[in-house]
Amino acid sequence: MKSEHNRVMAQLADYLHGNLDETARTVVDRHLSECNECREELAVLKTLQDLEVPDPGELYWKTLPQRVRVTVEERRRRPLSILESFFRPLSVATAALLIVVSLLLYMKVFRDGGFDPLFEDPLAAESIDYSEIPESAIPPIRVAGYEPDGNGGYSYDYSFYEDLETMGPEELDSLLKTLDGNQYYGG
Amino acid sequence: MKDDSTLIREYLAGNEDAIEVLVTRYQKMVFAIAYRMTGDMERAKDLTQESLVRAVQGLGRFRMESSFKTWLYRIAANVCLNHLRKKPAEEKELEEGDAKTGGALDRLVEQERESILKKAVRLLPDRQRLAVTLRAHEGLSCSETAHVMGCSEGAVKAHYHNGVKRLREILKEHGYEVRA
Repeated sequence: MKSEHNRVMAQLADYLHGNLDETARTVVDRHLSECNECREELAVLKTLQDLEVPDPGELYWKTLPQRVRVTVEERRRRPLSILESFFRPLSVATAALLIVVSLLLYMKVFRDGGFDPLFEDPLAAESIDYSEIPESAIPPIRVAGYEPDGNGGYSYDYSFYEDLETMGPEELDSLLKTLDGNQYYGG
Repeated sequence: MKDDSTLIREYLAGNEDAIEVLVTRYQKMVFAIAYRMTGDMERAKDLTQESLVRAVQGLGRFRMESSFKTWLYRIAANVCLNHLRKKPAEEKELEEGDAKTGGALDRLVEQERESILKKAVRLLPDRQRLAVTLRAHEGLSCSETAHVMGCSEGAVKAHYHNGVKRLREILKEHGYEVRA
Protein backbone atom coordinates (compact mmCIF):
# COMPACT_ATOMS: atom_id res chain seq x y z
CA MET A 1 0.00 0.00 0.00
CA LYS A 2 2.84 2.35 0.93
CA SER A 3 4.68 1.53 -2.30
CA GLU A 4 1.54 2.37 -4.32
CA HIS A 5 1.22 5.62 -2.40
CA ASN A 6 4.81 6.59 -3.21
CA ARG A 7 4.42 5.58 -6.83
CA VAL A 8 1.19 7.55 -7.25
CA MET A 9 2.66 10.58 -5.54
CA ALA A 10 5.57 10.52 -7.97
CA GLN A 11 3.13 10.30 -10.88
CA LEU A 12 0.83 13.15 -9.89
CA ALA A 13 2.55 15.74 -12.08
CA ASP A 14 2.30 13.41 -15.06
CA TYR A 15 -1.35 12.71 -14.13
CA LEU A 16 -2.07 16.43 -14.08
CA HIS A 17 -0.51 16.93 -17.52
CA GLY A 18 -2.28 13.90 -19.01
CA ASN A 19 0.98 12.04 -19.57
CA LEU A 20 -0.19 8.71 -18.11
CA ASP A 21 -1.68 5.80 -20.02
CA GLU A 22 -5.18 4.55 -19.23
CA THR A 23 -4.08 1.82 -16.80
CA ALA A 24 -1.83 4.09 -14.75
CA ARG A 25 -4.51 6.75 -14.74
CA THR A 26 -7.08 4.34 -13.32
CA VAL A 27 -4.68 3.35 -10.55
CA VAL A 28 -4.08 7.01 -9.66
CA ASP A 29 -7.83 7.78 -9.72
CA ARG A 30 -8.53 4.89 -7.36
CA HIS A 31 -5.71 5.86 -5.02
CA LEU A 32 -6.82 9.50 -4.95
CA SER A 33 -10.29 8.45 -3.78
CA GLU A 34 -8.67 6.85 -0.74
CA CYS A 35 -5.63 9.03 0.04
CA ASN A 36 -6.02 12.48 1.51
CA GLU A 37 -2.31 13.25 1.31
CA CYS A 38 -2.19 12.64 -2.44
CA ARG A 39 -5.35 14.70 -2.96
CA GLU A 40 -3.73 17.57 -1.09
CA GLU A 41 -0.59 17.29 -3.19
CA LEU A 42 -2.61 17.22 -6.39
CA ALA A 43 -4.45 20.34 -5.24
CA VAL A 44 -1.14 22.14 -4.71
CA LEU A 45 0.04 21.07 -8.12
CA LYS A 46 -3.19 22.31 -9.72
CA THR A 47 -2.81 25.66 -8.02
CA LEU A 48 0.81 25.83 -9.13
CA GLN A 49 -0.21 25.03 -12.67
CA ASP A 50 -2.83 27.74 -12.60
CA LEU A 51 -0.43 30.39 -11.36
CA GLU A 52 -0.23 32.84 -14.17
CA VAL A 53 2.96 34.11 -15.68
CA PRO A 54 2.61 37.81 -16.49
CA ASP A 55 2.92 38.81 -20.11
CA PRO A 56 5.82 41.22 -20.74
CA GLY A 57 3.97 42.57 -23.75
CA GLU A 58 3.84 42.15 -27.50
CA LEU A 59 6.77 44.50 -28.07
CA TYR A 60 9.04 42.30 -25.96
CA TRP A 61 8.07 39.15 -27.85
CA LYS A 62 8.40 40.79 -31.25
CA THR A 63 11.82 42.28 -30.62
CA LEU A 64 13.37 39.43 -28.64
CA PRO A 65 14.41 37.23 -31.61
CA GLN A 66 16.16 40.19 -33.25
CA ARG A 67 17.87 41.15 -29.98
CA VAL A 68 19.08 37.60 -29.49
CA ARG A 69 20.49 37.56 -33.01
CA VAL A 70 22.25 40.91 -32.57
CA THR A 71 23.69 39.94 -29.17
CA VAL A 72 25.05 36.69 -30.56
CA GLU A 73 26.67 38.61 -33.41
CA GLU A 74 28.18 41.19 -31.02
CA ARG A 75 29.64 38.50 -28.79
CA ARG A 76 31.09 36.73 -31.79
CA ARG A 77 32.96 39.91 -32.78
CA ARG A 78 34.07 40.78 -29.25
CA PRO A 79 37.78 40.04 -28.68
CA LEU A 80 38.35 37.24 -26.25
CA SER A 81 39.51 38.04 -22.75
CA ILE A 82 42.84 36.62 -21.57
CA LEU A 83 41.05 33.94 -19.58
CA GLU A 84 38.81 32.98 -22.50
CA SER A 85 41.77 32.92 -24.87
CA PHE A 86 43.71 30.69 -22.54
CA PHE A 87 40.91 28.16 -22.33
CA ARG A 88 40.33 27.93 -26.06
CA PRO A 89 40.97 24.36 -27.26
CA LEU A 90 44.11 25.28 -29.22
CA SER A 91 45.59 27.16 -26.29
CA VAL A 92 44.86 24.28 -23.98
CA ALA A 93 46.67 21.92 -26.36
CA THR A 94 49.62 24.30 -26.61
CA ALA A 95 49.78 24.70 -22.85
CA ALA A 96 49.65 20.92 -22.40
CA LEU A 97 52.48 20.48 -24.90
CA LEU A 98 54.58 23.11 -23.11
CA ILE A 99 54.01 21.42 -19.78
CA VAL A 100 55.06 18.02 -21.17
CA VAL A 101 58.20 19.46 -22.81
CA SER A 102 59.11 21.35 -19.61
CA LEU A 103 58.63 18.20 -17.58
CA LEU A 104 60.87 16.18 -19.89
CA LEU A 105 63.58 18.86 -19.79
CA TYR A 106 63.37 19.00 -16.03
CA MET A 107 63.69 15.25 -15.71
CA LYS A 108 66.63 15.17 -18.14
CA VAL A 109 68.58 18.04 -16.60
CA PHE A 110 67.94 17.60 -12.90
CA ARG A 111 67.30 13.90 -12.50
CA ASP A 112 69.42 12.15 -15.16
CA GLY A 113 72.48 14.37 -14.72
CA GLY A 114 72.14 16.42 -17.87
CA PHE A 115 72.29 15.66 -21.56
CA ASP A 116 74.57 13.26 -23.44
CA PRO A 117 77.94 15.08 -24.06
CA LEU A 118 77.46 14.49 -27.79
CA PHE A 119 74.26 16.58 -27.58
CA GLU A 120 76.08 19.50 -25.92
CA ASP A 121 79.34 19.47 -28.03
CA PRO A 122 79.54 16.84 -30.77
CA LEU A 123 83.21 17.73 -31.54
CA ALA A 124 84.52 17.58 -27.97
CA ALA A 125 87.57 15.26 -27.73
CA GLU A 126 86.07 13.27 -24.86
CA SER A 127 82.95 12.68 -26.85
CA ILE A 128 84.73 10.79 -29.61
CA ASP A 129 85.69 7.15 -29.36
CA TYR A 130 89.22 6.60 -30.76
CA SER A 131 89.59 3.01 -29.62
CA GLU A 132 89.03 1.53 -33.07
CA ILE A 133 91.59 3.77 -34.78
CA PRO A 134 95.11 2.09 -34.98
CA GLU A 135 98.03 4.08 -33.61
CA SER A 136 99.76 4.05 -37.01
CA ALA A 137 96.82 5.73 -38.67
CA ILE A 138 97.14 8.80 -36.42
CA PRO A 139 99.50 11.35 -38.05
CA PRO A 140 102.04 13.03 -35.78
CA ILE A 141 101.18 16.55 -34.69
CA ARG A 142 103.46 19.13 -36.23
CA VAL A 143 104.47 22.19 -34.20
CA ALA A 144 106.78 24.87 -35.60
CA GLY A 145 110.29 24.42 -34.21
CA TYR A 146 109.54 20.96 -32.82
CA GLU A 147 110.28 17.69 -34.57
CA PRO A 148 109.12 14.14 -33.59
CA ASP A 149 112.07 12.33 -31.96
CA GLY A 150 110.76 8.82 -32.97
CA ASN A 151 110.06 7.85 -29.35
CA GLY A 152 106.65 9.50 -29.12
CA GLY A 153 108.25 12.81 -27.96
CA TYR A 154 109.51 15.99 -29.63
CA SER A 155 112.89 17.65 -29.91
CA TYR A 156 113.40 21.39 -30.37
CA ASP A 157 115.44 22.77 -33.22
CA TYR A 158 117.96 25.21 -31.58
CA SER A 159 119.75 26.13 -34.86
CA PHE A 160 117.82 29.41 -34.91
CA TYR A 161 119.58 30.58 -31.72
CA GLU A 162 122.93 29.45 -33.06
CA ASP A 163 122.35 31.65 -36.15
CA LEU A 164 121.67 34.62 -33.86
CA GLU A 165 124.92 34.02 -31.99
CA THR A 166 126.95 34.34 -35.17
CA MET A 167 125.31 37.61 -36.22
CA GLY A 168 127.15 40.92 -35.69
CA PRO A 169 125.60 44.08 -34.09
CA GLU A 170 124.71 45.68 -37.45
CA GLU A 171 123.03 42.53 -38.64
CA LEU A 172 121.07 42.27 -35.39
CA ASP A 173 120.01 45.96 -35.66
CA SER A 174 118.97 45.38 -39.23
CA LEU A 175 116.96 42.27 -38.23
CA LEU A 176 115.30 44.17 -35.37
CA LYS A 177 114.31 47.04 -37.69
CA THR A 178 112.88 44.57 -40.19
CA LEU A 179 110.85 42.84 -37.47
CA ASP A 180 109.68 46.24 -36.11
CA GLY A 181 108.80 47.35 -39.61
CA ASN A 182 106.65 44.26 -40.01
CA GLN A 183 105.26 44.84 -36.50
CA TYR A 184 106.61 41.52 -35.17
CA TYR A 185 107.00 41.81 -31.44
CA GLY A 186 107.99 39.07 -29.09
CA GLY A 187 109.40 38.34 -25.66
CA MET B 1 6.48 24.29 -40.50
CA LYS B 2 10.16 23.35 -40.27
CA ASP B 3 11.17 21.22 -37.31
CA ASP B 4 13.84 22.27 -34.82
CA SER B 5 16.67 20.18 -36.26
CA THR B 6 16.09 21.57 -39.77
CA LEU B 7 16.20 25.13 -38.44
CA ILE B 8 19.37 24.40 -36.49
CA ARG B 9 21.09 22.92 -39.56
CA GLU B 10 20.04 25.91 -41.65
CA TYR B 11 21.41 28.32 -39.06
CA LEU B 12 24.70 26.47 -38.82
CA ALA B 13 24.90 26.51 -42.61
CA GLY B 14 24.69 30.31 -42.54
CA ASN B 15 20.98 31.13 -42.65
CA GLU B 16 20.73 33.65 -39.79
CA ASP B 17 16.96 34.03 -40.22
CA ALA B 18 16.44 30.44 -39.08
CA ILE B 19 17.41 31.35 -35.55
CA GLU B 20 14.68 33.96 -35.26
CA VAL B 21 12.08 31.30 -36.07
CA LEU B 22 13.56 29.01 -33.42
CA VAL B 23 13.69 31.77 -30.80
CA THR B 24 10.10 32.81 -31.52
CA ARG B 25 9.00 29.19 -31.04
CA TYR B 26 10.53 28.83 -27.56
CA GLN B 27 10.78 32.32 -26.08
CA LYS B 28 7.56 32.04 -24.03
CA MET B 29 8.58 28.69 -22.58
CA VAL B 30 11.94 30.09 -21.47
CA PHE B 31 10.33 33.22 -20.06
CA ALA B 32 7.89 31.11 -18.00
CA ILE B 33 10.76 29.19 -16.39
CA ALA B 34 12.73 32.36 -15.73
CA TYR B 35 9.72 34.08 -14.21
CA ARG B 36 8.82 31.12 -12.02
CA MET B 37 12.38 30.85 -10.84
CA THR B 38 12.82 34.55 -10.04
CA GLY B 39 9.29 35.87 -9.51
CA ASP B 40 10.45 39.11 -11.08
CA MET B 41 9.36 40.31 -14.51
CA GLU B 42 12.44 42.38 -15.36
CA ARG B 43 14.91 39.75 -14.25
CA ALA B 44 12.92 37.10 -16.09
CA LYS B 45 13.14 39.16 -19.29
CA ASP B 46 16.92 39.49 -18.96
CA LEU B 47 17.39 35.81 -18.11
CA THR B 48 15.21 34.78 -21.04
CA GLN B 49 17.38 36.74 -23.45
CA GLU B 50 20.58 35.44 -21.88
CA SER B 51 19.36 31.83 -22.04
CA LEU B 52 18.41 32.14 -25.70
CA VAL B 53 21.69 33.87 -26.59
CA ARG B 54 23.69 31.12 -24.92
CA ALA B 55 21.63 28.46 -26.65
CA VAL B 56 22.29 30.03 -30.05
CA GLN B 57 25.99 30.43 -29.27
CA GLY B 58 26.18 26.77 -28.30
CA LEU B 59 24.25 25.36 -31.26
CA GLY B 60 27.48 24.15 -32.84
CA ARG B 61 27.96 21.85 -29.86
CA PHE B 62 24.36 20.58 -29.81
CA ARG B 63 24.57 16.99 -31.00
CA MET B 64 20.81 16.40 -31.28
CA GLU B 65 20.98 13.45 -28.90
CA SER B 66 18.15 14.99 -26.89
CA SER B 67 15.39 17.24 -28.20
CA PHE B 68 16.26 20.90 -28.67
CA LYS B 69 13.48 21.73 -26.21
CA THR B 70 15.04 19.66 -23.42
CA TRP B 71 18.46 21.09 -24.22
CA LEU B 72 17.04 24.61 -24.04
CA TYR B 73 15.33 23.81 -20.74
CA ARG B 74 18.71 22.78 -19.41
CA ILE B 75 20.40 26.00 -20.50
CA ALA B 76 17.59 28.13 -19.09
CA ALA B 77 17.70 26.20 -15.81
CA ASN B 78 21.46 26.71 -15.51
CA VAL B 79 21.26 30.41 -16.36
CA CYS B 80 18.55 30.89 -13.73
CA LEU B 81 20.36 28.87 -11.07
CA ASN B 82 23.60 30.76 -11.70
CA HIS B 83 21.76 34.05 -11.47
CA LEU B 84 20.08 33.02 -8.22
CA ARG B 85 23.40 31.97 -6.74
CA LYS B 86 24.85 35.41 -7.41
CA LYS B 87 21.94 37.59 -6.36
CA PRO B 88 21.72 38.84 -2.78
CA ALA B 89 19.43 36.89 -0.45
CA GLU B 90 15.85 38.00 -0.64
CA GLU B 91 13.31 38.24 2.08
CA LYS B 92 13.08 34.93 3.89
CA GLU B 93 9.70 35.43 5.47
CA LEU B 94 6.33 36.01 3.95
CA GLU B 95 4.95 39.42 4.75
CA GLU B 96 2.30 39.47 7.42
CA GLY B 97 -0.21 40.98 5.06
CA ASP B 98 0.01 37.91 2.86
CA ALA B 99 -1.38 35.70 5.56
CA LYS B 100 -4.61 37.56 6.02
CA THR B 101 -7.76 35.60 5.53
CA GLY B 102 -11.36 36.52 5.68
CA GLY B 103 -12.05 37.57 2.07
CA ALA B 104 -15.78 37.35 1.66
CA LEU B 105 -15.72 36.10 -1.88
CA ASP B 106 -14.24 32.79 -2.84
CA ARG B 107 -12.40 34.36 -5.74
CA LEU B 108 -10.65 36.80 -3.45
CA VAL B 109 -9.63 33.97 -1.15
CA GLU B 110 -8.40 32.03 -4.12
CA GLN B 111 -6.39 35.01 -5.35
CA GLU B 112 -4.84 35.47 -1.95
CA ARG B 113 -4.05 31.78 -1.79
CA GLU B 114 -2.35 31.97 -5.15
CA SER B 115 -0.40 34.99 -4.01
CA ILE B 116 0.80 33.12 -0.93
CA LEU B 117 1.73 30.14 -3.06
CA LYS B 118 3.63 32.30 -5.53
CA LYS B 119 5.71 33.76 -2.74
CA ALA B 120 6.11 30.39 -1.10
CA VAL B 121 7.54 29.01 -4.35
CA ARG B 122 10.13 31.77 -4.34
CA LEU B 123 11.16 30.81 -0.82
CA LEU B 124 11.99 27.25 -1.83
CA PRO B 125 15.67 26.37 -2.24
CA ASP B 126 16.71 26.93 -5.86
CA ARG B 127 16.93 23.29 -6.92
CA GLN B 128 13.65 22.39 -5.25
CA ARG B 129 12.00 25.30 -7.02
CA LEU B 130 13.47 24.20 -10.33
CA ALA B 131 12.27 20.62 -9.85
CA VAL B 132 8.76 21.81 -8.97
CA THR B 133 8.73 24.25 -11.90
CA LEU B 134 9.82 21.67 -14.43
CA ARG B 135 7.58 18.89 -13.14
CA ALA B 136 4.44 20.76 -12.10
CA HIS B 137 4.44 23.70 -14.49
CA GLU B 138 6.22 22.44 -17.54
CA GLY B 139 5.00 18.85 -17.28
CA LEU B 140 8.42 17.30 -17.80
CA SER B 141 8.80 13.66 -16.83
CA CYS B 142 11.09 12.66 -14.01
CA SER B 143 13.83 11.50 -16.41
CA GLU B 144 13.54 14.67 -18.53
CA THR B 145 13.79 16.79 -15.39
CA ALA B 146 16.84 14.81 -14.29
CA HIS B 147 18.43 15.44 -17.71
CA VAL B 148 17.67 19.16 -17.52
CA MET B 149 18.94 19.49 -13.96
CA GLY B 150 21.97 17.31 -14.58
CA CYS B 151 21.26 14.97 -11.67
CA SER B 152 19.78 11.54 -11.01
CA GLU B 153 16.08 10.75 -11.10
CA GLY B 154 16.28 9.95 -7.40
CA ALA B 155 17.59 13.43 -6.69
CA VAL B 156 14.80 14.96 -8.79
CA LYS B 157 12.18 12.97 -6.86
CA ALA B 158 13.65 14.15 -3.57
CA HIS B 159 13.85 17.81 -4.64
CA TYR B 160 10.35 17.73 -6.09
CA HIS B 161 8.76 15.89 -3.18
CA ASN B 162 10.39 18.12 -0.55
CA GLY B 163 9.42 21.22 -2.52
CA VAL B 164 5.74 20.30 -2.84
CA LYS B 165 5.64 19.19 0.78
CA ARG B 166 7.05 22.54 1.87
CA LEU B 167 4.46 24.39 -0.23
CA ARG B 168 1.66 22.44 1.41
CA GLU B 169 3.06 23.26 4.84
CA ILE B 170 3.31 26.96 4.02
CA LEU B 171 -0.29 27.05 2.81
CA LYS B 172 -1.44 25.34 5.98
CA GLU B 173 0.64 27.64 8.17
CA HIS B 174 -1.19 30.57 6.61
CA GLY B 175 -4.59 29.12 7.22
CA TYR B 176 -5.35 27.82 3.77
CA GLU B 177 -6.83 24.40 3.72
CA VAL B 178 -5.58 22.41 0.79
CA ARG B 179 -8.51 20.76 -0.85
CA ALA B 180 -8.71 18.52 -3.84
